[in-house]
Amino acid sequence: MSGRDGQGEIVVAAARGDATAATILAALRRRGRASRLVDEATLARAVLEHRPASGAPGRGTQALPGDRLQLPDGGVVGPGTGLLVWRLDTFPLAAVSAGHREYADAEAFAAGLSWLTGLGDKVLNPPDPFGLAGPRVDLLRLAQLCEQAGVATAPFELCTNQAAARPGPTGRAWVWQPPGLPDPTQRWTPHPAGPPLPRPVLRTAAVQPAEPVLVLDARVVGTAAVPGEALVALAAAAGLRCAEVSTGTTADGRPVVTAVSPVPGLRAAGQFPAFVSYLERRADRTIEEAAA
Amino acid sequence: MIVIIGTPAEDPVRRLVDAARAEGVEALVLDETAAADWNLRVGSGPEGRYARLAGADGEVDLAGATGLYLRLTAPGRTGPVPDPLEQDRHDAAIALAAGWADVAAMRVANRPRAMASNGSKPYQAALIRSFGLAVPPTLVTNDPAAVQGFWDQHGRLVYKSASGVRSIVHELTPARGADLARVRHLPTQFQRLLEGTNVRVHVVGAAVFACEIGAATIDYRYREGGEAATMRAVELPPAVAERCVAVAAALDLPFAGIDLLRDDDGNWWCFEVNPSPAYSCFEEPTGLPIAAALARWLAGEGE
Repeated sequence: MSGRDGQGEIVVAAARGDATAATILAALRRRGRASRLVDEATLARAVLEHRPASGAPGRGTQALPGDRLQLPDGGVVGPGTGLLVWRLDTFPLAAVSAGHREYADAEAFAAGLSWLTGLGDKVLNPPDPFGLAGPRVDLLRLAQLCEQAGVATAPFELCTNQAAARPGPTGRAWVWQPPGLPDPTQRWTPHPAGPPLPRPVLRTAAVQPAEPVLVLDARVVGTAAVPGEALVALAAAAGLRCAEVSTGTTADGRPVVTAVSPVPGLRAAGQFPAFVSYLERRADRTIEEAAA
Repeated sequence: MIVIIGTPAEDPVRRLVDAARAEGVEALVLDETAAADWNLRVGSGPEGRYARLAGADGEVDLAGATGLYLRLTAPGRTGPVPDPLEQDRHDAAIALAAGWADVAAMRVANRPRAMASNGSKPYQAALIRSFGLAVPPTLVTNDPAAVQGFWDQHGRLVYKSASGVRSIVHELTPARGADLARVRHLPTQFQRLLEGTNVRVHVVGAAVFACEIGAATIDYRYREGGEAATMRAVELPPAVAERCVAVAAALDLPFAGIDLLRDDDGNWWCFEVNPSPAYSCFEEPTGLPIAAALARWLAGEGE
């Protein structure tokens, strides 16, 4: 299944401290699957040759022949790869001084987004401009996607000025840390006691959380407060083939979705083996398609 | 009513405000420079999603507008800032307005999520190609040898930023080529140099406004010591105009500034689709009624 230049490998791109990534790789190796970790230090020494789809109009965004990321040990991530699991927010290929860091990061991200897109189905989740690992879903977007999928979210209100925020009997407030809309997968800082201040605030209904479930294409692994078909529809609406969906129940007993993440933590029972099997199936399929 | 979010003194915003007035379209302007003072509430509850702006005269339901024009330019701040929370409120207000623009059930020019495709030029170019316009052969690399091979293949190349950060497009000349080893520090975008006539196309819904640009430099935005670019309104061939509308729609950019080039063989190429076009630079010298079309589109007229 694997040649010496990385043909057919499952590649996991993750931070060195990503314990979930390390466990995924260990499980793949136990199963005898050719796989490798690509961390920031490796990527910093990698050589990219990216030939995005160009020329006359044509279908798809698949990169042109010759597209490859050459790793320092001679391995290659490219069209011959079985599957690429990208768990990083960045594309750390820039080696520049601090003074040019902001520009270099933007350039490297742009290159990475284009390169990952050009790999098509060989990437676990399609990247998008808001996340190389897959689309990140903020609270407002989550509410929109849930509406499309026919599931509920917990009521929330974002206010630019806490002093003007409406009081609410079920509201529980967190300080909203700008800039940017809150990512529901983040932990929010509890609101400090004291009088309202003219600062931004997020108020949301209290939710009793359930264990996150894993959506893998049309399959749901785990038990959620929300029907499985709706979660599959939600992940698809978010543009994710693989998603971790957090759900819970409000104080009045309503099942709600609280977050969708493209980077699963795989904390719940049974999710880990299902996820690793899914990676293998996906990789097998891309290898078969390449051979056909 | 339409909502305009931006800096009122900036030309594209000013022209739209004037055009809306002339067209009899009511416009609510949210001044980006005063975002720290906005009292904006956006949320989701049993009544659905909502956005409300509190002011001296009460609360305005922004969701009741027919259209939203968003042109955030992050103007510089001047003077002392006595309130330490002002920056927080400013950032929050901008993020909240942009987040709402993404999900607002109305015409939006343009939604930030769609605008973000322009944050990676090669990514956007691949989409443009898949939606019907040719794009120049491109290489993104940090390998000097790959650049040399691409250069040998195409004869003349330009290099430019791959991200949304603005940079001047330069030709890769032999003198600059001597520094090619520096590419190793950062993946850089190279493209085959195309020669011909630049044409800027503004799409507003299904309406198309094109102007031809005469320039002595590769990047007509910069004179580089030469003559300023000249512009004149032109009609596009219908098939090209249709493709421009189709590409803008597929990118979810109903208001778009499309950079085309008609090469010496008559082929049409697309460099990029600008999601927040500074259309005033093209409207002023050509008289193309872009602002008026945008005001009418935001008010619900046409496709």
